[in-house]
Amino acid sequence: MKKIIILFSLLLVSAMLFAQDKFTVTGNVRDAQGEAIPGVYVRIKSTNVVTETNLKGEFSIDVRNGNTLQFTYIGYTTQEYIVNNADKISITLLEDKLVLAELIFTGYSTQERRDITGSVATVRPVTMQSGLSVDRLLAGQAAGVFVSASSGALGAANVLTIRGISSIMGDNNPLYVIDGVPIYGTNRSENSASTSGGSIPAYSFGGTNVSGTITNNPDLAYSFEKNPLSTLNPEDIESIEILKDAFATAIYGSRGSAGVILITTKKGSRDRTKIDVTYNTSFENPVDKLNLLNGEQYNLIYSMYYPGSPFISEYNTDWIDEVTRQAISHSVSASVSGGTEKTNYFVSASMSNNQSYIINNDMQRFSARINLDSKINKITTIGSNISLSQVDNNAIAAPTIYSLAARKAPNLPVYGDDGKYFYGQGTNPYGYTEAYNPVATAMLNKERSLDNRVTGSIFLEVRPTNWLTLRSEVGTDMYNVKTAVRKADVPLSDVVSKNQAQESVRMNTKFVVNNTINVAKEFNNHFIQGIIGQSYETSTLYANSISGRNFFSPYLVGVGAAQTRTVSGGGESKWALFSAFARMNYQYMRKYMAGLTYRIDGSSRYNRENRYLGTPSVSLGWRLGEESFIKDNFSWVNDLKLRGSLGWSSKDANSGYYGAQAIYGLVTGASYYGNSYLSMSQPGNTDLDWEKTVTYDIGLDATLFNRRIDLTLDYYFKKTTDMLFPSDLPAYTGYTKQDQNIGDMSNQGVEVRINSFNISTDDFQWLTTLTMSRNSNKILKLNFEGNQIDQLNSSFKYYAVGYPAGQFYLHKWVGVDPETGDPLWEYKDGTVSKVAPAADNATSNQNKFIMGVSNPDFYGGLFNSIIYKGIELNFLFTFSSGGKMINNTKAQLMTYSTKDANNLDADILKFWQIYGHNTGVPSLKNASITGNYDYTASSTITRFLEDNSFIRLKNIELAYSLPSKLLAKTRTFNQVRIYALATNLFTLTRYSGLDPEVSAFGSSATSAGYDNLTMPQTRAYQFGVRLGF
Amino acid sequence: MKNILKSLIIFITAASLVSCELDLAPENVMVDEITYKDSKTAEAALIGAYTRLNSAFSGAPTGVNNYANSGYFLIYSDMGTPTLMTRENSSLINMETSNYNTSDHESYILSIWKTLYNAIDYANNIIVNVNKYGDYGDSLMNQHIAEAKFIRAYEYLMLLQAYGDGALTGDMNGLGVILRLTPYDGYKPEEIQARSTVSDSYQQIITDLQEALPYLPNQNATNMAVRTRASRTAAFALLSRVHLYRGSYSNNTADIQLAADYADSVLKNNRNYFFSTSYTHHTSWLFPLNTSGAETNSANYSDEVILLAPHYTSTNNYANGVGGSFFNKTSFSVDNNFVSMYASGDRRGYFDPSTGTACLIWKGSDNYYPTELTSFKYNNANGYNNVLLIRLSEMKLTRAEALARLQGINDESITHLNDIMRKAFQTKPAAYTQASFASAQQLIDQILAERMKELAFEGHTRWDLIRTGRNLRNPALNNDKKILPIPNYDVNISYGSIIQNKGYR
Repeated sequence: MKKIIILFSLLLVSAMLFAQDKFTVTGNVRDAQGEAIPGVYVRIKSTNVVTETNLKGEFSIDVRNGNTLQFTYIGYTTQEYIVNNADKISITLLEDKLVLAELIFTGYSTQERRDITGSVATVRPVTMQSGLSVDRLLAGQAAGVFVSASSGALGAANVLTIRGISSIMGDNNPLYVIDGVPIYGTNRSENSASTSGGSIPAYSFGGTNVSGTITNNPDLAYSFEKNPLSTLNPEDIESIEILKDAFATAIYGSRGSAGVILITTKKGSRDRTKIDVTYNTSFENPVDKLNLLNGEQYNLIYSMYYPGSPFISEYNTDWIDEVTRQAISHSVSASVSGGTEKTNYFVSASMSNNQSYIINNDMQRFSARINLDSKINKITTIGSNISLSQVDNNAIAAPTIYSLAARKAPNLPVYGDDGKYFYGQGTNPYGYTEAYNPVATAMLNKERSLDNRVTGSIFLEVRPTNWLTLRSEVGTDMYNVKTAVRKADVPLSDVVSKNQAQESVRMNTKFVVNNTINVAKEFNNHFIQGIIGQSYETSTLYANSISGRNFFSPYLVGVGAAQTRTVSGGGESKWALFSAFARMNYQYMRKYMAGLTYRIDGSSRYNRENRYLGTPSVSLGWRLGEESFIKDNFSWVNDLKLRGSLGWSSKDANSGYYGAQAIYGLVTGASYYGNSYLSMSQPGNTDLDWEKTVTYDIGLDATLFNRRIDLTLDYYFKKTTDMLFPSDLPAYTGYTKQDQNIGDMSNQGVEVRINSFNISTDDFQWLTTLTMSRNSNKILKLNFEGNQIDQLNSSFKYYAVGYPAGQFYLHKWVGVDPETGDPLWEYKDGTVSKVAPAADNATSNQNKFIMGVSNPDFYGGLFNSIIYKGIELNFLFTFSSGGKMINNTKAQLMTYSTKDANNLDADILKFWQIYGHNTGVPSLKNASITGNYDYTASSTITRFLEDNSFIRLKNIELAYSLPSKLLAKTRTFNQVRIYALATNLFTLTRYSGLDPEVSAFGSSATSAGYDNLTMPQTRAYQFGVRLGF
Repeated sequence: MKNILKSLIIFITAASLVSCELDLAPENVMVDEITYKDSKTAEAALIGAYTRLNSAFSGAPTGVNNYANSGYFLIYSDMGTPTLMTRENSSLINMETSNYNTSDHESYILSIWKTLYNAIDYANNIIVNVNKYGDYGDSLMNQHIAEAKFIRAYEYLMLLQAYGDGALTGDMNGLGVILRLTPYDGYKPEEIQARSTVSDSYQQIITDLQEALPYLPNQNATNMAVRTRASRTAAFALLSRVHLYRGSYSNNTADIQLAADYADSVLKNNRNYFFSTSYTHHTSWLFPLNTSGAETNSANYSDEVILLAPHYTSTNNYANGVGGSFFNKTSFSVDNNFVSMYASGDRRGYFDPSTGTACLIWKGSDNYYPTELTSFKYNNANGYNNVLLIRLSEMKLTRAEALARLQGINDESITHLNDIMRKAFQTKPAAYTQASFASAQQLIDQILAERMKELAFEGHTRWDLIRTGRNLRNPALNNDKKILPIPNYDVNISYGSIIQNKGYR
């Protein structure tokens, strides 16, 4: 019966059409370069009559006079053409940069940008690539996303936070999802590789004990935190979506509170086989160099400090110069994409070889990707996205070497008279007992981390009707890491004798199954788009670690050849997450929008009773631009949308693998009358619950002035409750501290993104994008005590109710008394004294001051792209304001009081010498170097606290693309682009260290703000060519 | 249509390839479920509970979340009594004056409290979790639970002695301990617990011991291993002590009778715990008289020991936590006046080393305070000494005291007194007879004096003085001040739910 009705209706419509004056028009559609565009949607306006252009861009359609034809193609501005008896039409479609950004991924589905009611930022990697990893590409590109490199070490982690920190004890890195597979992302504890024995001292927290050598704080033992995203080839990325507010992240429920970054890789496009090849080479140097004492100055200072023990060694070695070099890197990548009626493919391969600016340290990356999809019948598509990669990082010791070189006595030679490496302290009366030679360390040690990774998914998609899509996918992330450290013998040292080796293997395997049903249907004035789905994810980590020492020959490398071997760990840990989710977006008249998302997650990390967490969210949107009062009165408004959302999210894994359960360990080395016994390493806590974050977001999206300006504005308020924090327990429980769901914290901020096509003509285009973000964080509730002076996250930050999380809590250094050369200190009661407040253990903490946090309160980026004919000039400034940094590099290089007699900053030469001398550097012997302690160069004093606000020319690129006419003649090339790119060309900052954008604690947002002889980033000059066939 | 059907079938198959297991047992981490499932690990956890008992009593190794203390409880038992002289500059000096300051509260007052409660939590874990997860035979499971209950009773008695307001001075309505009978498993402020009465606290201890009795091992103590674990004999002995402590001050006949009866059943045991009157047995078997801590008898123990903490064993010693403090005498030394209580020839006292006679009081380390005296009961700087928890001499003295209280002057009391008094002499002195005592009180006083001399530094002196209403070293201290205050830490964190002891409000 239905069919008959439909048939009848069709007949009726046809009859009506036939009743008019009908004729056939034919034509073709081309792009600005004159290339035919197949697949353009040609429709008679206000009717259902449509056709598509064929491979040659040709079409034909029956029309009547006066009909308007619409030509629509994704990525191009829609054109209309009024039919006026012409039987041959030629249409040129212009690329629309705005529309290009329209379709965006929102997790398990896509939506058009204009339909979005949550807060989602999209970044499409522009041609300029300056980072090895995708997170670094986001610097200054997306509002609300703070990105900072942690150091200049190859493959090292970056700091990336979205809308401030939402957890103190947990991890603040976002969830990364590549093509639907949540991958093993950035997380400090999971990506740190021990570079054993590379003992960079955790310097002088509290006061330096001068009686021995520098005490290494085991909690601050340096390790190399790698960036797991460096396994992903940035060239493969089509787009990056950053889900920021709760409506957007709610679909990733329990893991969304730190934001979600969705990465979509490129797909092949039908009928067009495209080959892209890029090659580039770059030359890199550190952005700046430490200004250290030379041999003579070193002798002078230490001979003065130790009057009875002159330093007389006459060598003069610039150790930094000895261990650094100009790094040269190459990278080549190629991709082939295309498709047939049924199958699309994208295949890429890339290889890069990067040198570190530390000698004998480098890194190689290979990666390959195959993205395939194929229609097996009218309604079914199957496909897969698979990426294989290997990162071989031989530069994990670089930070150690850099720091060793900075501190090594400059009056010692690299090589002894016998031509061999010179170890020890020579004739110096004091020096490092370790006796490292930084050059030998770089040349002889082999410290390497090898990552092998397979990330991918296979999917099956069924579309029984045009409004319903069923999709099932199985994804995996197999991420195996081997870290091997082989240290050469250091002849004079007790510490590293007879060679040492350590190898550890971590095998991460994750499987994800997603099943979703997508619905998108428009009827009358209603538009409904929804998704319902379910997901199951398991992760297994196998880790083992073995170490060995006492190698018979220095040429034996593998740990198995060691004569003494120890297994220091081995075993599996698992977790699983089961989830179900639904989202419904509704629009009325395409003007009024409402959305509802709900996800429920069950995590194996929690106790049965607290295992499940539901994260609901709602949103509303109003497309004001469609209202007549806007349309009629403000013609300069092209699009205007107000949106608001409210929702909950959380962060799984902040309580560790088995956080809720009591854990026992076997006590080794002691027995109870021969019986082994257990001790509890962690008492049970079934109350352990999720940290919950509720986010309110109000946003505005506007397109103005004839689509020249695109503006996004967001205000958000985020409140995290039940935040895990170690809190005091009544001692009668048998325990006095345990992580409790006790804290509350808020973040609020404003984000702006303005995208402006300042000039947009055929020959000359100028695009400016400005992003600015402001975030302020505050602890609302912490623990019973209201504050915490602790070694949380090992970073000596202070937490107190009413203040932003992670305060520097420091003793106030007033300056140097010009009369005596003694440091002056300010106490809490306002008095100024020569006695260091740290000297009195009992009152030390009371006399500290809250001095600010490392996270900036204002940051952003300014991008400009100027194109004149084939010449492009692109540049990106990033800026950050209001963050603080402890210049611990300086603190270390101003410490001369230990028996290590390390090299010093040249500033030490300004030391106070005579009555009335006005200087910031105290007398070498002064009242604050007393007994066994030196309080002048502590990391917990304001002397080394600096503002690290900066503006940096992150990238500047000059490129030339050959004109397409010329290329057409070659019949080979589609694109030839030659470019030169400079990174970190200049930086405006008041920070006195080398680089305001470093962090000794890798990706940790709560521990950031320490420059601890951290390798500065590089200034790179890159030259490349991109060929398209 | 066929294709559509096929696709749907594939889709549904794919979608159903999901299993959802969220209870993931860790592979190399021991959680409750794994630990208490079989006997080996459950027993190791129980042994862990014994080490926590050691830790609470005399100090033990440290570990994550486990607090090692410096044997504060043991030292507190004699500090402030006539046996020990505290140095003025010692951080423990306020144990004599009972004028506790903030730092005392933060150190030993809190340490004794939380170490005991930490130990109690271990016992609670065994009692609850063996029941819940245990799968290794009822008899062994019951034994483990019984041992844990014994341990818990021992620990609660220590808590009650040190912190219970009136517990040793007959105030059954006074504030006792906070009773924790289930494992710690997270904390919510609204669940803060208050203190039980002294009466309820005693009752819990007695209940635990009564419940434990039927399942405790009752082996022949022919090796030392038996004496490192709770036994039926040990439970009787502890019951005797509990009743003596509860009944002494008010002279409660029922309690005294029970103390006497339980002591009697211990003394009449047929499980190889026997008392010897040989002086060598006393001085060198009970306590090794050399600084290495090596025992001098081959079996490494004295037959009168009912329960000890094995800090000295042939392998893997762990320190008892008090050894160094006795050996080096840095905080205290043995009071010369106390030493003079020992009659000449009593090997529990001090002999000039030049005589070559083995004795229990000696000079310890030459490096610190070389002229001052200390006890061989903890004889080396490392603390590798077995620590005695219960031995027959205590039972003999308890039996003697209880009978004297019940029956006045009597032969059995005098026999026990003579056994203890004469044992440490090579040439035995004259024995007491009924005629030696003018009154029952005189006999009791003599028994108590002997008790102090015999059990000094073994964790008894202070409690014996309090329960018998005698003065501590500082005669100004009233009963309320003879015990410790509740640590301010817990008083503060409970917002007043945990009430401070009377003497410290």
